[in-house]
Amino acid sequence: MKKPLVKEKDALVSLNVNPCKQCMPLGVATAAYGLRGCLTIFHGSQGCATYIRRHMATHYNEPIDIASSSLTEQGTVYGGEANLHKGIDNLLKLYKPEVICVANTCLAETIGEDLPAMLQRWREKHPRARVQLVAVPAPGYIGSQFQGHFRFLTALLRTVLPAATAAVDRQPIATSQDVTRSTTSVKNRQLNVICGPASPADIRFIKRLLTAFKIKAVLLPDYSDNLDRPRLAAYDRLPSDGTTLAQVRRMGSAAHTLELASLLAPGDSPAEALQELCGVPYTRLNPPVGLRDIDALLAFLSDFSGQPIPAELRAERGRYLDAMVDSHKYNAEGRAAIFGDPDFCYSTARMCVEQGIVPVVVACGSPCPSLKERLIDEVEEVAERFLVDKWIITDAADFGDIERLALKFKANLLIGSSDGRRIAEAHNLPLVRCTFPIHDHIGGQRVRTYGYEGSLSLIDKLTNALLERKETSFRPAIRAEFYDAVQLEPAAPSIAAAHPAEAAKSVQPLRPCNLPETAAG
Amino acid sequence: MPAVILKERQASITRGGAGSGAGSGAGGGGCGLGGAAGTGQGQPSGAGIACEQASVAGSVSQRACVFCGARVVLNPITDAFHIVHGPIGCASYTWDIRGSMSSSGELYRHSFSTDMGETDVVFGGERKLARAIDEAVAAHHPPLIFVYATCIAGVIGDDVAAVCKAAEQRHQIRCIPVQAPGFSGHKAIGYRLAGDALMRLFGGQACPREKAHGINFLGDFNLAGEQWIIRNYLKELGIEVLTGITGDSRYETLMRAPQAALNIVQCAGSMHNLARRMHDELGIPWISVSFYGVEDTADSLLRLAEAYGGAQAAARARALCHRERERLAPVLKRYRRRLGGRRAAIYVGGGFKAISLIRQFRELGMETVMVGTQTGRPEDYEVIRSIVSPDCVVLDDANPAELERFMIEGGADILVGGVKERPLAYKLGVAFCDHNHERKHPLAGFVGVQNFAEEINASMNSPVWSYV
Repeated sequence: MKKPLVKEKDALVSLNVNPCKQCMPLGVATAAYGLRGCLTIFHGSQGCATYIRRHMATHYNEPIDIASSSLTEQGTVYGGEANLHKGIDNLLKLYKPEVICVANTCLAETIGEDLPAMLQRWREKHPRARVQLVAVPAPGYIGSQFQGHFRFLTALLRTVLPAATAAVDRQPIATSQDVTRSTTSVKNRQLNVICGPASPADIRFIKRLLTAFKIKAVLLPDYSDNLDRPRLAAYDRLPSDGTTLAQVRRMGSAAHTLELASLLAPGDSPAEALQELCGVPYTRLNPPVGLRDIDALLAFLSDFSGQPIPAELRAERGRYLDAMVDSHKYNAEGRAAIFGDPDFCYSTARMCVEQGIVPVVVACGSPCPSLKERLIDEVEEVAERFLVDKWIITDAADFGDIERLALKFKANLLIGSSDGRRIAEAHNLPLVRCTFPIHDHIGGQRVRTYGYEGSLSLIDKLTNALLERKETSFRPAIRAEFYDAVQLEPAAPSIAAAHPAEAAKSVQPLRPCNLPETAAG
Repeated sequence: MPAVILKERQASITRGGAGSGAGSGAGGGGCGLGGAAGTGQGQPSGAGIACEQASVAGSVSQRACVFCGARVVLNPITDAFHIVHGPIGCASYTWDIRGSMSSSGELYRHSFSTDMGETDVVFGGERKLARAIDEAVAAHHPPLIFVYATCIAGVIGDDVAAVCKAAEQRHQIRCIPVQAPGFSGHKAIGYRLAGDALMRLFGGQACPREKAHGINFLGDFNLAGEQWIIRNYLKELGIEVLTGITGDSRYETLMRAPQAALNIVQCAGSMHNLARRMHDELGIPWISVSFYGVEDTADSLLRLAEAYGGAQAAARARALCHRERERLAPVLKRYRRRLGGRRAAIYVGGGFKAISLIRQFRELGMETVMVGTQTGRPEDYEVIRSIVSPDCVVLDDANPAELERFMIEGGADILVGGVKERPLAYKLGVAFCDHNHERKHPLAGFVGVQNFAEEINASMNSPVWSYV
């Protein structure tokens, strides 16, 4: 009998049922961890900071410190400037940060708190303070944590660069977007690399890649250490690694920007901001997940640096191809439901398509109509190969929708965050946890999806989930269908042979079956 | 660099050994707060510690907000439909917030939110909320709906009370507004709002006292089935529990609450106001209990048995406690050999748990060197200060810098706390015990004593500490 679902078709349409997204301030705070010596203060209610700290702490297994201006009723009615100023003062005393990211949450945005003006007045009160303040409007009623990530980066560039570029004697800049070829032969030119909300381990991979190609680069944001810290003799409560403010200032004079993101909302692109502010041309590539997109990144880096692709990476690619072949027949049984932020969904679906796993449900939690536009052709192509007629790509989905769609389109594999575990448990579906948030497993900070090795480790998990499911289910399934359902049921009354003696005579002696009849005689 | 203690925070940090009350100079002055100017300022009278106050801006408080306080108290009601009216974050971060268990439905474990967007903020969210309630009734026929109005609903002036009232009339079910904008105070205010919401549900129907029977169990949320464990004890004593408030409760069980002869209150921080109102308005007396640790559990069972069931129940309680103590004694003896003489730090939500934990550590031969709470009351701190050593740091609404400093200064071997504190403890080389909403093994009752000792030992005596 069909279990009733929490959100049946056309029901609860005015409600978000089990959210597949978090809010913008979470993305802001995460990206801000990629800047050295930076702390975040939310201008708003105390709870926002605490919730987000808790949410991040269980995923990254790191202490997460985010301050709040702890607005009260009085502050909400008469304005919270005093609270915010005091909050900044206290944060300076407690942590001595070089940068403070000040984010307006829903509450501050709704009551119309003028962040730049308030920060300007704080500056006037503290003329000798050297801390860099970065104002980010981050109302939780718009977008999601995905957008918050890029909004912080854009706000940072817009705050830091105008002043910096005026002082820097830059080389003449190219204006065309597609300038990679013209810059290939020039050595020692700086490349800016903008990353989306990747795991610390994936960011670390990008760093290694840049070193391998001997590229002088500024990577933003770089939370590879701050959100995945090695054990040290003494604990440093200030996030003491990551992109430095000096590096950010130099981004304006770079030869080129590489932005590893796919589905940015208009106005949220840090690379576009860099071009607009300082005329740095940019290339936007998909995050390096799956063969095509990893190849594209390596080709770009090789082109930019004038260096050949290192032998080690070529060998990794070879192993990746070999693994694709080894796993292809198992993967052909895969019918995946993929959920998470827009870029995660996009990259993972593209990778699945290459492997012959049909993404029957691709659902991102925040509004993002371009997900479907960008993916539809390749999902259709792979679905047709395996005679799969029905599948869906959707946005603004919650887990109520995802559960219903996963059942409707017969998914046998869930790929996303640990928030899918309830569906996995209720319907006995395997869940591969590989994106934020991962709360019930260890190692969220070490999830690898970037590069041949990263993607391969993810594919192995997907294939093994399918294999395990098959291994543990094929005996009972086959027995149920062909034995229990028929052999254990009452048979039709057996029929006795009509003429037993004649029947016995008509039985021929056995003959070796592969010999021609004449030879047997 | 040692962590700085903010000036505004000093009045909320003191040491043990008060007893006589009235500030007593044991505050900032006795703290050894090197590097921080101005000691002992703003010492309130009485408990000698500033508490129940708004968090200091920029201090990085470990507290959540008013909404969180209300939701954690009401969420364990298993057949209620809990709607968060606000932008998505409030719902996203509190989805399935407690590990409370249910003996029937699982509706409460879902997250329902109106997910307010920009247009709702501009044009108001009342109509969307009304539609959401209609849809909830059509799809799930809940007997009870709670609507939590968070910051934005509060500030744009959505009349959530009117929407709920109209829905009650339309659907003939209870639809109770919980106006809990985060800026309207701190977490403990949310506890009070939850209590008020329950009083509204009870509808002021006092039961004639001569007909009263059974008890209500306030302040247990059936985390890891803890309420079932205590109910089993009470069953053995012959005491009927009408309902948990709110662990494993349903609309139907809650509606029996006004008939109770007695309320037992475990988590006083979250339930004090409700217990007081049930006493004043429904005539139900209450006693405080705690089922954490051997001594507190035994003491609570005995007092309850005497207060409710008289001599016969008391005899049964003594027999039960004797049996369980006998069973535990050899187990605890083995653990004491591994744990005795070590130092504990405590940072938890409320005062009652902190008090029980101090005693529980003492039962294991361990000394408490730091103890703090997010929402302790003056009377909690008075008890805490009277049972810890004079060197023990006592603090209210602490931040990571203070926790770091006092754990290091006190030489803590283990911290008991919530999820956020765990990575900090580990970074400092301090073991950790998860005494929070998400625990997956019971820590209450006699069985909980063994689990607690096991968990302390598992972390504190792990071989990994010898390698790092």
